[in-house]
Order: sequence, then C-alpha cells, then structure tokens
Amino acid sequence: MSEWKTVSIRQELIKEIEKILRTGRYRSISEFVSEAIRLRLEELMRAEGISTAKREELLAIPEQLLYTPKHTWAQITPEGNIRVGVSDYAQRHLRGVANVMTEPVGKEVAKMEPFGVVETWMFMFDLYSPVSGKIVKVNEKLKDKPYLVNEDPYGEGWIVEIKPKNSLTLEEELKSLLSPREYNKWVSKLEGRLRE
Amino acid sequence: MDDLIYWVEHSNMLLRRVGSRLTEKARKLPPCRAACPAHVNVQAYVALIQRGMFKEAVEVIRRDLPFPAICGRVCFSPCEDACARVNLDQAVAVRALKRLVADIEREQGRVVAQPLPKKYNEKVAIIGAGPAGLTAAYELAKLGYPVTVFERMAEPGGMMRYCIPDFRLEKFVVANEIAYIEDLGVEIKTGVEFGKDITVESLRKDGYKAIFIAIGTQLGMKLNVPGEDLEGVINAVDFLRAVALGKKIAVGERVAVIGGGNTAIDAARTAKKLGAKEVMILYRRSREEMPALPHEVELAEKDGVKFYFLVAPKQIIGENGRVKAVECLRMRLGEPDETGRRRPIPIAFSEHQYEVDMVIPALGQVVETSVLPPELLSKDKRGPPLQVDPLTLETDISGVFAGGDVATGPASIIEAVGAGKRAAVSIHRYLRGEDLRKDRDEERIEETTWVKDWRLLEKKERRYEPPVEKPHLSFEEAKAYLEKLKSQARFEAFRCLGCGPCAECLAGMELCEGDKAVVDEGKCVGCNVCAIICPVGAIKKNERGVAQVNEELCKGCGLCAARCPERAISMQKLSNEQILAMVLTALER
Ligand SMILES: Cc1cc2nc3c(=O)[nH]c(=O)nc-3n(C[C@H](O)[C@H](O)[C@H](O)COP(=O)(O)OP(=O)(O)OC[C@H]3O[C@@H](n4cnc5c(N)ncnc54)[C@H](O)[C@@H]3O)c2cc1C
Ligand code: SF4
Ligand code: SF4
Repeated sequence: MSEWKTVSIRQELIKEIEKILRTGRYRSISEFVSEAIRLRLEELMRAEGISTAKREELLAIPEQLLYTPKHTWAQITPEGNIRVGVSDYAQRHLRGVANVMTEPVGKEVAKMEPFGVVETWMFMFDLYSPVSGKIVKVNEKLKDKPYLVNEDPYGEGWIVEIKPKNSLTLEEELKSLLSPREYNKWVSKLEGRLRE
Repeated sequence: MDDLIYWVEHSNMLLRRVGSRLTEKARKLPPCRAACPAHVNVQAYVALIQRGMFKEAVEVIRRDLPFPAICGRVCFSPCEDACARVNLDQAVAVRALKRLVADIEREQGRVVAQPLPKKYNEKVAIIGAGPAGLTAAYELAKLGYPVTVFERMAEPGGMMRYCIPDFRLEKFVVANEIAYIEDLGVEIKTGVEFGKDITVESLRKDGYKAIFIAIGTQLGMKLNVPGEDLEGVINAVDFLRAVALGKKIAVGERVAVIGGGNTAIDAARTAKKLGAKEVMILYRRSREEMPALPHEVELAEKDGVKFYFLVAPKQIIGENGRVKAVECLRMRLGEPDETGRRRPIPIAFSEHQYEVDMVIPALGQVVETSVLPPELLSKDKRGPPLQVDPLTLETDISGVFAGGDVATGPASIIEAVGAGKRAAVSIHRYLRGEDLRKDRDEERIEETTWVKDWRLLEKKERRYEPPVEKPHLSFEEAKAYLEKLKSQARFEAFRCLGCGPCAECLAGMELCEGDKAVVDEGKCVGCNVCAIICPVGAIKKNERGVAQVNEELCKGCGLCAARCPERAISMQKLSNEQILAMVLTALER
C-alpha cells in the first residue's frame, strides 16, 4: 500500500496561501486540495526517482571486453570462442527483460547482423553479433531466469558463444569493435541525445 | 503541456477522488466495477492513470485481482460492456489501460513481493492452479493463512498456461504473475494429482482444515461422429496443450477446426501459425451466433483462417487409418433454443466433403468427473456435474468448496477469479466459525452513475489502443514511444466519467475522511446545479430555495463545490491545516 507522507505546516506561510486562495485561481478549497495533492505526489515521485539514480553506481564498462555500437560485448573464451552479451548500458534500458530468444546452436551469424532478440514486457530489441561465425552455445539459464541479463550482464547473463569463421577475419573484426574507452564515449554521446 | 490543460478542464472529475469511503449497507459501484466478477476498482485505477500514477494504479488492481497483466491481455472485459460511456460514444479502454500499467511496472524491473505474515495456523489446500485456485490462494494468503496449491501439471496456471496461445498471452506473463503469488508465501506443489496422489481424506489427515477444488474443465468434448479415432483427429484443448508443452506436432496441410467459440479460434490461429497451408473453421450456426469475440474472429481472418457457416460434421472419412476428409451436412436456423441462439437444423441430402488431413474438434470442455469424490457429483446427469452453492461455493462435504470452471462450465478467467475470491471469503468465515452468508459484499452491490443527461456531455472518441504486436525498437525510440503511450493512456483515462460516488483510490484514503460539503447560504442563488450533479443525492433545495447538504449522505466527493457557479459550496471538514500544508508544499516549488 502506498504510504502517505504528512506535511507539517509552517505558520508564517498560512497567510500567503490564504491570499492565493482569494485570488480565485481555484474555485473551491477542494479544487485546491486536488491540485495540491497531485503536485505533491508528482514531487514525491520525482524526488524518489532522483535518489535511486544517485544510489546507482556508475555505468560498468569492463576493460577486458570489446563492444559494438549496438551495445553487445565480445569476450574471447579459453576455447577461442567469442562470448557475447549485452552491456550494462543496454541492460539499464532493458529493465524488464522477460525473454531472450536467439538463433539455435549451429546457425551461422554475420558481424553486425541480428542473432536474436531480447523481449521485454513492452518491446523487442535486436541483438547484434560482434563477429561472424557459428553459434556454438546458448546460455540455457536465461530460459528460466531471463533477469540474469539485468543482474549480471557481463557474467551469468551472457547470451551466446560464437565460434569465429576463421582467425584472419576474426582479427579484423575484433579490431573494428569499440574499445572500452571508445564505447564509453559513444554511450555518453547517446545519453546526451536521449536527454534532449 | 496539452495534457495539463486537459487535466485542468476536467478537474471536476479529479475532485471525485476526494471522497470518503462508503460506509452504508449498499455498495454503490460504478457500472464497470459492478459488472466485473472480481469487482476490480476500475474507476480508481483509471483515476490514478489520469494523474500519471501508474504504479499506484497497479496496486489498486492487485487489491482485487492478482493478474493485472494477464487480464490486461485476454480478459473478455465485462467492464467495458457495462461502461456507462457507451451511451455517449465508446467504452473507456479499460482492459488496454490495465495492460499498459501492468506492463510499465514490469518494464522498469522485476517485481518481487514480500512474504506476508501468517496470522492463523489452519492450513488450507487448494486443488488446481488455474485462475480460480490461485486467486483463492492469493486472497487467503493476504488474510494470513498458510496455503498450499496442488497442481497436476508440471507448471501452474491452468488454461492460462496451457491453452491460451502464446501470441495472445505470453508464457512469461503468466509465470511472472504466479511468481508474485508465490513470493507472498503461497506454496505451489506441481505434479500432484487429486483423486490419485491426494484425496479429501488424505488432505484432512495431513492437517488441512479446508479444501477448495478448482480443477476446471480439462476434457475436450467429443464430436460423436464416426471416424473420430482416426489419426489426425485431435481435440482443441489437447492440441493447444501439446503446443504449449513444446511437443513437436505435425500440423496438416489442410486443417478443419470444428466449433465457433474462442477455443476454436485459438486452435485455428495456432495451426495456421504452425504452418498449416489452409485452416478452416466449420460452424453449425451463422456468424451472428458465434460465441467467439468479434475481435478475435477478425484477427483470425487476418491470419488467413477461412470460415464456413451452417455446416456440421456427419462423419470423418479416413484412408489407411488417417483423416482424409470431413463429410458435413448443411444447416438452417430454426427457433431459438434455451440459450437464445437459433437452433441449427440439418438439411436432408446436403452432404458434402472438405478434403483435410487434420481435424480439430473444439466444442467446449467438460469436467473430469473421475477425479472427484463421488459424494460431490450430482445425481442429475443432465445438469452440471458438481453442485455448489452459487454464493458461498460450499459443496455437500463440510469444509470442501468448489468453484471456477469446474462448477460453472467453461467460462472466463475473470469469472474464475471472482470464484476464487468468493471461496476465500467463505473459507475464512468457515474457519473462523462465522456465518457464511450474512452480509456478503457480493450481495450488496448496486450500480450507479451520476450522469443523468447524456446530452450535456461532450463526445470524445477512444484515444488509446494497445499495439497489436510488440514493436522492435532501439533504446532511444523505445523511450520516446513509451512516453507517447503514457500520455495517450492519460488522455484515454480522462474519458472516464467517474461514475461511482468515490473512487476509493489509494491516494485519497487518508485525505478524504471527514470531508463534507458546506453551503454558504449568503452566496447560494438556488440554481440547483449541485443537486443535479451530486452522485448520491445529498443536496436538495430547502424551503427557502437554498441548497442544503444532508451530511449523512454526503460522500465528500467535492463535485458540487467544483460545479457551483457562485462558489457557494466548499469542502470544509477536511482540516484546513492539512489542506494548507499541501498547498504550501505545492507552491514552494
Ligand atoms: C483455448 C482457450 C482460450 C481461452 N481464452 C480465454 C480468454 O481469452 N479470456 C478468458 O477470460 N478466458 C479464456 N479462456 C477460459 C479460461 O481459461 C478459463 O475459464 C479459466 O482458466 C478457468 O479457470 P479455472 O481455475 O476454473 O480452471 P483451469 O484454468 O482449467 O485450471 C484448473 C487447474 O486444475 C488442474 N487440475 C485439473 N485436474 C486436477 C487434478 N485431478 N489434480 C490436480 N490438479 C488438477 C489443471 O491442471 C489446471 O491447472 C480460454 C479457454 C480456452 C480453453
Ligand atoms: S465511465 Fe469510467 S466509471 Fe463509468 S463505467 Fe466507464 S470506466 Fe466505469
Ligand atoms: S453534497 Fe454530493 S456532490 Fe457535494 S460533496 Fe457531498 S456527495 Fe459530493
């Protein structure tokens, strides 16, 4: 149940308020009340929003990974495969991950082509592959716990592993991905655009 | 900005929130809420949506219904059929709004509920984890009982999980809303069959003090024509269940679905989506008599499903044990039967065939009587198989209740939810040794709307329809799109007339108590506007031609104060300090 916060009154301002009441901007006290409740609640909500934003730590962009401008990351596994997931930045926009669907194991994918979708409660977001190759593993845990993408985007929330087509093109492809610093810059640019 | 202006225009409606809770015997409810079998407080959550308070809106829905997202998708929405606004233009898009607020809540992150404290120690057993059983469990958990739900299938949800196809109701939606109920402390045991693994006696022995049977109707009805056991004939519910279980099903090239209800439509659309080249629905009456919702029929047509009306199967023809064709008779419509629909009458010698390789009968479902204790089955073979008291849901065995589809026959999710709530009230009263019938809320409902003259109101068409398919978007687009949806939803919510006397919403509660209209007799000119507008008839002109408030009746909604042209009415009993304090903080910014 929602909690109602009572506000204590400041005596010295009562007169001011009464004056405003008299200007006739409101036709009755209750109209006043209603407006005030609304404003107050909006204020409370806004205040809540700000405090949670503050509590959140800074965006995580691990150093050892490479990124695509479409917010997927790539990591080379000991077996030489490329593990792919979505970045912390992406995860923050996908708070309500409800379902992760990818191409099946064995399917060929091309660099910067979609290999799956993240379904949230209201939207679908395409996932873009950082490299070309064949899907060799799909994170089965996401079937039951898609929210791992949110809780641990760089760890347990990985999405697929891709076996690169060949090492020559792989090198090229990895080179063209964004370094953590470049990715950070890219994200700040996007954020700026979002705020506008 | 626009919506702020709109808001100000309609501020009179908002004032309705400033109303005290109802205390009298009859519960005057707006038509939408009265029509809803679970009596979800539509007016309140719509009022909250007007103010952009989406989270609070979901909270209000959850007071009466544990499945906001599910019902926001697939409820048959009796509230919209009853909505007073249809007298003017169209019903408020209640279901769509519900879906939106529920989705927005989850879009912002996983919702995990806190376990509820147990106040009592009488254990309650619920059989069947469909909407009826789960709602009863939810309500009983809220009351403070330890509840265990026993479910035969591997996953809970009943028809919502296993029959309603994914494209109408995503599986994760069902799973999430059930997880919420489990979070509250309800235990769900799956893979346990009533009638085999457990019985009324065994549950009693295990210490369960009350039992609610909500096993639904799981068996598809038979066609009763020759050829029904050929390979390629599969009942609609079995077909949908197999698809939901992820079994590989070879759908035919040409599929005939027999029946005209929603199940037939769902089966046909599913077959089409699984790759059948041609899917036809054969129905023995005409389009007008189809029980399926017109909207669903349209969607099926869009998917390419063909409809043949006034035909009924006579036999299924096979070849080497497999379906090859259905032979049908043409029908004509005769006199209306007891359901009010016209009875189909076969036309002699009108046999004709449809070449198909799969036949899906979808004639409805029946109760699986074999699992029920024989004492509960009614002797009368023609009536419903299970006799329960419609108000209290008691059965012939004391302490055993039954409700949902099992008692009513195939109905709807929201009716099952209504039954679950009823069962919870009965079980609570039973366990506390109280009278099961006295003063039940369900008995006291009275429909009301304050609108007396529809000509005075302005027409406004619907402003919000939910997207049929989820859009593929980038983050930037999604953000903008979501904002657009939110503002559309607020506009739509403003179409609500706020029929009931008080929205009983969350935000209003503490502020409303004791707020009453007071007339300044010096200012009143006796125009009578207040008397007309008052939804509860609390204002009358007295012998001197001055408005007089009946304090007993006044709900403190503030409508009259907002409408009075002379500003002669104020809502004064709300403590001025409180009012001022709030105004103060608002102005401080
Ligand atoms: C194809 C289809 C589409 C539908 N579409 C809609 C729709 O769009 N909107 C709507 O409002 N309604 C719809 N309905 C109807 C709605 O699903 C049902 O009315 C509702 O689910 C009934 O709820 P219930 O709890 O009574 O039963 P059910 O949902 O049937 O749940 C009963 C539960 O009991 C379990 N059970 C059965 N026997 C046993 C046993 N012996 N032991 C233990 N557990 C057992 C079952 O496995 C099941 O989980 C649809 C139904 C079908 C078949
Ligand atoms: S106008 Fe609003 S309160 Fe009245 S019936 Fe429709 S939804 Fe309910
Ligand atoms: S007199 Fe009627 S309209 Fe006025 S506040 Fe009371 S209930 Fe509302």
